[in-house]
Amino acid sequence: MTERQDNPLAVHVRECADCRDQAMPVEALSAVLDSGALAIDTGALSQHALARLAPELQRRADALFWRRLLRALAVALVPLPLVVIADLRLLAWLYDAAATWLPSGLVAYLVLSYAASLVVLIGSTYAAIPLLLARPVAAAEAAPA
Amino acid sequence: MQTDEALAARLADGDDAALRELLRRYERRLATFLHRQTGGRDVEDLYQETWLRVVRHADRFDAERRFSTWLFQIAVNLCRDWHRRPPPDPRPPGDEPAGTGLERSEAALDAAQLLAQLPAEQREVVVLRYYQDLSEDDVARILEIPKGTVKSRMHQAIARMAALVEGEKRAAS
Repeated sequence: MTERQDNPLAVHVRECADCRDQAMPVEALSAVLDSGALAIDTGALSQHALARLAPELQRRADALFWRRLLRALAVALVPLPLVVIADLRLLAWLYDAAATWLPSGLVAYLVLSYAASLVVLIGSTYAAIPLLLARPVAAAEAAPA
Repeated sequence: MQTDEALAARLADGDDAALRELLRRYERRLATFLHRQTGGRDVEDLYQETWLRVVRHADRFDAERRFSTWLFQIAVNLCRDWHRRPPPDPRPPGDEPAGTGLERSEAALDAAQLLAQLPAEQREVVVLRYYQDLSEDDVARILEIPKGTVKSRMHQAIARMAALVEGEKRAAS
C-alpha cells in the first residue's frame, strides 16, 4: 500500500501538540481506516437516482417554462395597446389618403387586407414567444447524453 | 469545462444534462461518504434523497458558495436524521440487503467497526477529513462549526480510535 503524502491523520498529529506527546499510532490507524476498499457500483446508484429524479426534473422544467412564458407575455402585452392605436391611426390615414384617388370599395378592400396582414403579423409575433422560450429546452433534450 | 456552481445554476432550470454531469463528478465521493457514515446501510436511499434535495432546492443554491460544500451539508444532515431513526431489526452479521449495488469486503468491517465506535460528530469529521480529503476549513464550512472545533473533534476521534486499535492489538497478542 502506498503511503499518502498528505495523510490527514499525520497532518493533524504534526500540528497537534497533545497528539505528538501521546505518540498516536498514525500508521496503524491509517491501515485500519484504509482496509477494505469499498466496492461501490456508483454507476448503478446514479442510474437509479436519475430514474427517481426524472419526474422531479420534468416538473421543475415545466414550472419554469410556464413562469417564463407568463412573464414574457406580460412584458410583451404592455406595448400592445400603443401598437393597436398606432395601427388604427395608420389604417385610417391610409383609407383617407387612398379614398381621394381610388373607388371606396377598392380602398376598403385594400385597407382591410392590410389590416388583416397587421393582425397576422402581431399574432405571429406573440405566438412566437412560447416557441422561442421552448427552443432551449428542446435543444437540450435533443442533445446526446 | 463548466464549474460545479454553473452546473447547479443550469440544474435550477431543470436541465437534466447538468444533473448527469454533477452526478458523474460526485457519485463516488458521495457514495463513499454515505457508506462510511452509515456502515453501508440505506446508502441507496440516502444517495437518492441527497440528490432529490439538490434538485428541489437548486434554485436556492447560492452560487457564491461551493457546490461541494452544499452537497455534503445536505448529506451530513440526512445522515444525522438517519442516525436518529430507531434501529432496524437485528440482522445477522454479513447479511447485507440485496440489490443495493453495494458490496463490502470482509476487511472493510474493521474500518466500519472502528468508525461505528465514534460519536456521530467525531465520525463526521473523520470521514470528511480522511476519506474525502477535505481541508479543515472545508469541513468547518460543511459542518458549520469553527475550525478549532474541527481540530478538537479530530483530536478526540484519533485518541479514541488509537485506544480501540491498541486495545484490539493487546487482545490479539
